Amino acid sequence: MKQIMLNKDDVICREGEIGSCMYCVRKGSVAVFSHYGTKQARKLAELKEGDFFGEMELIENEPRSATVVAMVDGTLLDEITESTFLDYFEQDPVKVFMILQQLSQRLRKTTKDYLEVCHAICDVTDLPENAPMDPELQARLLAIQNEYMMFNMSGLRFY
Amino acid sequence: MDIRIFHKGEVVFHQGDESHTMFEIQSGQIGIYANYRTPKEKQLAVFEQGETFGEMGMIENLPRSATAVALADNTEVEEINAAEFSDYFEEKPVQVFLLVKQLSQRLRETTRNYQEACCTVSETVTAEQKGEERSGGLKKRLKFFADVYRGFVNGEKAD
Repeated sequence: MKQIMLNKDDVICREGEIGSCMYCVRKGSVAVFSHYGTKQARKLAELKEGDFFGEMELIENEPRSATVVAMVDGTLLDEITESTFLDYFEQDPVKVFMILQQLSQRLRKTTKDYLEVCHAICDVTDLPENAPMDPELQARLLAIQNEYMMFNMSGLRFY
Repeated sequence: MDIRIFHKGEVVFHQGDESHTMFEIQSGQIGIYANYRTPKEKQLAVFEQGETFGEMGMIENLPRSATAVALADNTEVEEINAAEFSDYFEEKPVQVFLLVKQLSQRLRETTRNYQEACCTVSETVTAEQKGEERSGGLKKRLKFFADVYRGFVNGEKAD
């Protein structure tokens, strides 16, 4: 199994690139960024020991949906490729359970956020088109629009 | 890992039940229902021999989100809890990887739906700010997401 050691601010993978491995944080921590290195850069999440990332790119062959950067010196990651995937999990089945849990949690959070947006949309469609919107609904819609503008809307949610 | 056998029409678990186990169908057929035996009942899925269901219960211990019912006599299922998961994985790694892949796919699709819903809100806000009428395409998308929310309120899953 391949492990990589990183220093603070080392880039592990870049938004938009085709990825071919997933990672597990063994020591230290990493930060997940949208638009890293630009004025619109925004930290989406911090991942610590035991957290997986990049599984979507490995399993689905999607381009990396964010840039991931080591947060501290001595950050250690397991690097898992398509060919080492089976061995990696067979050696330690507990990790499979952990990745299932993490995926499941992310799915639940994303579903919740999605339904909130659908709820706002439902409230909009309940009104006749040119009817004035109440300030609360307007505020909800604006908040959603802001989120949309800020994210790189091209892939996986990490948190 | 327990084996359980059900007659046609017998309930394996009810929506709202506590859950700690997943199931693999050895033979027969299982139907998954929202609001079972109510006027709002809706069949969400049918699972066959070799397929698994109820994984979220084992992974996250959340209340069951739907009711599972045997659709055929002598429907036989294997019940697996978290402690038995490693054994299950050793016996059937492919089945487990399929589960990882399915969760990953669901996360990707939900993320994409979420983004499209946000985009739809953004377009709606912009149209309103400009005093423009909503295009036919925008109205269609608004209706689509509003229906997702209404479906959810009626107990249908959104992911």
